[in-house]
Amino acid sequence: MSLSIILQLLVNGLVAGAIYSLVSSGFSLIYSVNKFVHFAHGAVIAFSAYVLYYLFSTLGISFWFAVVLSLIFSALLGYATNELIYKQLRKRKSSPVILLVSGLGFLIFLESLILIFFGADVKVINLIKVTKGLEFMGAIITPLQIVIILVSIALLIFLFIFMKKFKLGKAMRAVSDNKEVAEIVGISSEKIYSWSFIIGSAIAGIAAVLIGLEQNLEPTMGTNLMIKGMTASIIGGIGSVPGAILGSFLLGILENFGIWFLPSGYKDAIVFTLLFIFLLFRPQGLLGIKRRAEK
Amino acid sequence: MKKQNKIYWIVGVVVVILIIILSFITNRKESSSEVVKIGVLGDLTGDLSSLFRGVPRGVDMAKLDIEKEKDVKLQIFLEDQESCNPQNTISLMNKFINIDKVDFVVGGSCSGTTLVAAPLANEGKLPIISPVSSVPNITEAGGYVFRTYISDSERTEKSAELAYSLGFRRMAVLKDISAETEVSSSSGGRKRFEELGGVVVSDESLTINDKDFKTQLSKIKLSKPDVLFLCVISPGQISIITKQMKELGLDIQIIMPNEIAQNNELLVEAKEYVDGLIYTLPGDAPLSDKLIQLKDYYKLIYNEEAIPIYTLEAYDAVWLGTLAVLKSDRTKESIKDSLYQVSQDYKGVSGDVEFDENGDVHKSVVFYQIKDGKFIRY
Repeated sequence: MSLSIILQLLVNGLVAGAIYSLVSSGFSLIYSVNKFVHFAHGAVIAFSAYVLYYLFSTLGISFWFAVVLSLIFSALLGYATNELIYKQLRKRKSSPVILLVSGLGFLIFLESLILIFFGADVKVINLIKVTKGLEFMGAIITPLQIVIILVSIALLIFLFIFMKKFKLGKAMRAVSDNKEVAEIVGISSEKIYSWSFIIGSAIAGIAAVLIGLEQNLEPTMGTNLMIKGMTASIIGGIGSVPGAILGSFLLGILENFGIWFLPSGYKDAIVFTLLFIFLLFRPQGLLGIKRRAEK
Repeated sequence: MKKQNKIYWIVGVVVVILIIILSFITNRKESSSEVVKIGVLGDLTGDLSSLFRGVPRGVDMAKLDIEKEKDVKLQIFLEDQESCNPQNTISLMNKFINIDKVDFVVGGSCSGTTLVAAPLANEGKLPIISPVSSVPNITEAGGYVFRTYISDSERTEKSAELAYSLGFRRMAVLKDISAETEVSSSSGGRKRFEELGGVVVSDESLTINDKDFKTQLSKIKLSKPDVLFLCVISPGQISIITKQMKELGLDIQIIMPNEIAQNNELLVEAKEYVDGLIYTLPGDAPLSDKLIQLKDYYKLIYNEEAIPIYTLEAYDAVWLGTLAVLKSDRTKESIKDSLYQVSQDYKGVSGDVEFDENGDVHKSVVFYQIKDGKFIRY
């Protein structure tokens, strides 16, 4: 295997990992605070991508303005999901399983809405003219793919600093660790839950913009993205945002190196084999021990 | 608590009465001899719903025309397989056989679902006519299985022959292993290309949910092919594959042995990547008055310029089935036997639809190319 091939596979893996991390970081942030699987996160990404498509490609609004609007939309959608569904269920003392099932139902509901409003046809956000990518030591990467990788790394750094240094981030960690104690010291857990949905869904909006530009839009894209994003979160350490991002990159790289040696149809088999290995031998994920030691 | 129980009892009694009334109405309809009941295995939701949207539309147009031209009423039971979900196919076939008691079925769409439906059709003696399925082994799926779409075997061979005749000698194959028809197409094309003296330098696969093909395409690029034999079922995947080929600098001719690229949205949304792609279409139906009328009608109703793929095949399937029912003594065996007879005289809008002894049709294979945002005869 020549150096150029290794580099190309690394690039392919990094791009795939960056896309997964855009999904898993928001998902993991919401999970770490709320302690349940927000399955509709994938549909928030899909819906926001379609909103961007509608604003930019159908209405002809300028791209950057359309991006801002779709980010606001995704943050509001996340907030509304929490207020209208999860908050009401929490009031009724519903278990995390009920919340998960309701999230799954909401995912299907949003996908059906996309199907009704936009149809199942191929949708492409045609902003960048497609040309041959930039060549670096035989490996090819497009400028958009570089942006996707950089944004996911920036997100990793931002979320790390946000959770450690910002007042809101610290409050999120407090609620995540012990909700009752956090409330005794004056932190409103409901407010923190809402903020986690707003920030997590805004990240979903960023994912929607970048994934929408890199791939096609399809009504069921959210489900497929969630499967990979959730797997990456488990590999990285469920509830750990930096872990989810690291897990995403590991998943992307292993998947792409794996199908170089194995038939490419085994791509998903590689993903789930990795998941099972982690579940069996390291259920706490990549950053699990470190977090336990910190405690 | 007691009051609640009372309410439950009242609701229960009302529901039972409603069921009795509804079943009475349904039975009254069944007793009419002029009603032909047709089950349709549609794909109304999921990622493939756009691809197969022609099926229910073709059925609707046929219903309208038949009721106008013949003294018969068609009762359509349109059901959703949710984009080729075989579990749904089984439930729906059981519903068609045991509850709706239809005269014949139009469907399935994906070859896999037709093959799932086939044993149930043969056991329940219910003729099924697929307007989409093309995998070769449907030929041996049983006496009650018919199709108005051509088998893959001929068009894959023709596609491989075209590749060879255009001077290509190094073929790369990229196939969807989750679609039975694409697996059989790729192996048929590969075999024929090698028989002609060409070399298959790379054989890669993907599945229907994949959205990233960079590594498969990197492998293909390394093998230095001069033509890509692309066997996928999703128009969305065609768009991403052609885009990523361009980004990786893999500038080679693409030949698809199927009709999936004949997609208006693909032409609009992915115009700049798909240019030059060659694909096949079955049949070469003469432009009859009926076809012109259908095209005008389609444009008027659905506000789309071109009739989507599978619409005409579904239209023909409904006509053939209905004519067979009218000719038969309404037993399932005689409907099946009549299908062979009526297909000899019926002039199909999708081409020649005379069934052979296996329930297959034989139409010519036509090549098309996407050029400057248009589908052009190659």
